Amino acid sequence: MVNLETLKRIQKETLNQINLIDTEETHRILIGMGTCGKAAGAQLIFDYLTEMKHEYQYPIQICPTGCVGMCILEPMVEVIDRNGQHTVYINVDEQIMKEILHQHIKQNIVLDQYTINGVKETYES
Amino acid sequence: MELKKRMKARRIHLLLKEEDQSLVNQLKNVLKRNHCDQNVEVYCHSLKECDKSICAIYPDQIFYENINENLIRLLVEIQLLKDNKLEQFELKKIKSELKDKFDQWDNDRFYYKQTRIVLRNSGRINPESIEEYIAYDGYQAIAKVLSTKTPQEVIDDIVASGLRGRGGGGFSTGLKWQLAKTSESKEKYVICNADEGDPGAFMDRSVLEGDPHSIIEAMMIAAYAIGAHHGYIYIRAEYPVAVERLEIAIKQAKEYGLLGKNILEHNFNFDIEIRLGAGAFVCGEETALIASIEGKRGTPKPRPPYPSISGVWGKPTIINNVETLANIVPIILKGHKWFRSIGTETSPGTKVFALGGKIKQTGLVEVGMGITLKEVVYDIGKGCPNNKNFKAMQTGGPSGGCITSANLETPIGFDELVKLGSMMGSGGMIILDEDNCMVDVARFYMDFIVDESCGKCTPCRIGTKRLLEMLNQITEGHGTLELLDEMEELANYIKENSLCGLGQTAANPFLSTYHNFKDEYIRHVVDKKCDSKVCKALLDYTIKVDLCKKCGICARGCPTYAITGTVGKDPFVIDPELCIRCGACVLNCKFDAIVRA
Repeated sequence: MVNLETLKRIQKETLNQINLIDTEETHRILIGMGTCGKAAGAQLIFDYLTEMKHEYQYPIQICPTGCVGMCILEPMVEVIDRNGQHTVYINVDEQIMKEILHQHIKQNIVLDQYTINGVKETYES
Repeated sequence: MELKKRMKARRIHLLLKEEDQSLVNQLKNVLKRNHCDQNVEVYCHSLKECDKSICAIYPDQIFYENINENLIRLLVEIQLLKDNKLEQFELKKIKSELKDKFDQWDNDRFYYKQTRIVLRNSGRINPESIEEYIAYDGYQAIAKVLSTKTPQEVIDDIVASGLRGRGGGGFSTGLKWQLAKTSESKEKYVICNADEGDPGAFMDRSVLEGDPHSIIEAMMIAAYAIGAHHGYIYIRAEYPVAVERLEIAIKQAKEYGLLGKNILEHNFNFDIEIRLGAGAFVCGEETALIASIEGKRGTPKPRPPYPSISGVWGKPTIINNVETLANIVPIILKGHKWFRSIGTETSPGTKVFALGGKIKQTGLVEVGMGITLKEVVYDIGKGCPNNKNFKAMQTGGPSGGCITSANLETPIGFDELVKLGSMMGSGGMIILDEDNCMVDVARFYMDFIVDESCGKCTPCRIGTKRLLEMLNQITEGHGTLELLDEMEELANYIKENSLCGLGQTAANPFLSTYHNFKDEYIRHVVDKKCDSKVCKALLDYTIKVDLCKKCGICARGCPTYAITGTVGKDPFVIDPELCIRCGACVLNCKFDAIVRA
């Protein structure tokens, strides 16, 4: 049974965990897993990530989440680091996820070409 | 198509002084003239203290100040098209706080013009973890209510906030609660209506999938306010992910003692049960929903008595839509004055819309009421793809109606949309462009209604069926002007004589398209032409003799052998009697010799 004090305690503990304060994990990875995300293939990425985390002990917190409203860009993966820096990757597939793990998580290199702010070359017809 | 130019996709953020506001439109015009409006997104911002007009170009992060008409022209022609900096005008040393502001705007541009209350946690927390919900002030509102407020104070708060039901009708939520509270009964019920049936609407699903605990908490508050101990969530079985997450959420809440007996050490008991609906559209109507929960066939009953007096099992019941409930917790935590500060006088707060159809950025948007429809379509949705022209916007599902481009300046609000002959509905917003035939759109919605009519009252059961048959006649080229008059009469009859709200609005798909696009109906019945080239029976396929290279590829691909000719000698011709208007020949022809009219 919880009361107000326990609620406050849980809030503080979980906020620390979410903000990666004093945790083993260095990154929090949010995967859009509403129906829109799942339809676009988010489940594959989620399974791949859990497998990788299990196998290679990546210091990541995997968090499935709901729809952020940009259904057209799903599957979306948001990487948050200890400094609170958010990086949103769009239209992610297993290959891109692999690169994110190798470059972003391991070496802290943001893969600009896959992010939502990325520079896209477009052609005018 | 030939690729002429190559240019980077750019985003321009403008921060303008009061007197420079007209520059936005000028910039858009210049972009259009240079044919790069498809590659450049323009955002306009305002700050309280702003003495200079600044223009920022992202992702390059170049800033220009004191912009004017001339500079805008140079900017587009030199900076954007030729990728050369305009050194002499560049703002080299921008204040770091201002730059941070621009960076933030650029990062948040997908939420440009949006206000997120209902979707506050969606996409931020793990919906399967109660701890993460608690981390973002979850279950603080019910704690506050239980320890500091009487039920009447809670209701007063909701009444003062002016919150109106987001499910369609727009009835005041506070008054609904008040009615249920004043009804004398030992047992009362709280129901969450998650039976979202409008084609193209998925707001409730997203809220339940992204933030199920906020609905549970809001139902607890509602139960405390009216004195109920039991709640139902009526959700359709077609939403398996939402059902699963709700089940997990309820289980977790029970483990934490947030559902059950003596919640948070107060004398308050509450429990929630999930009822799965089989996905009947009519069960979104509250009396039909109650019948369905009781295990009976889901058909509406005449009102009054309203559910607030006699609902489930004949007891006072409040039924609130998912989105309405999602607003309760923020109102309790931040106060009704804060809620009133968002939106308009008669429709406070925000509304979630599911943008779909012919629009570039489909998805879920939450905007403050009072924003114009134009801003939603062009600033948030980025307009129609492939340079097509906007034709109409369908809101409110089958019960709603179409809004034409002439009315796009209307601010969003419950009463404003009703004035336009449409309604807010649950919030599906389907954009139609010039390729959509309005007769066909009406036929589609009518088909849906015929399928979903419960069959209890005759005007809706038979009337809609006849209306659909008449619409089919028009699309098949058998329409007459007399038929149109007959249809209007029948539609009005259905409107006046049906039993429930859904029946009374069942003819709206026809009525609203007929009123707004009468020309198109007349063109269909008099000239037997469909200008949008949708109604197959009204199309003619012909081969242009001068363009035909006599290759015979079209004839080989024709499934009904309707095309005849000799390869290399005689030009090919289509026999209209045999042609089934499938369009295969148009796709096969490399020389664009086959025209559809």
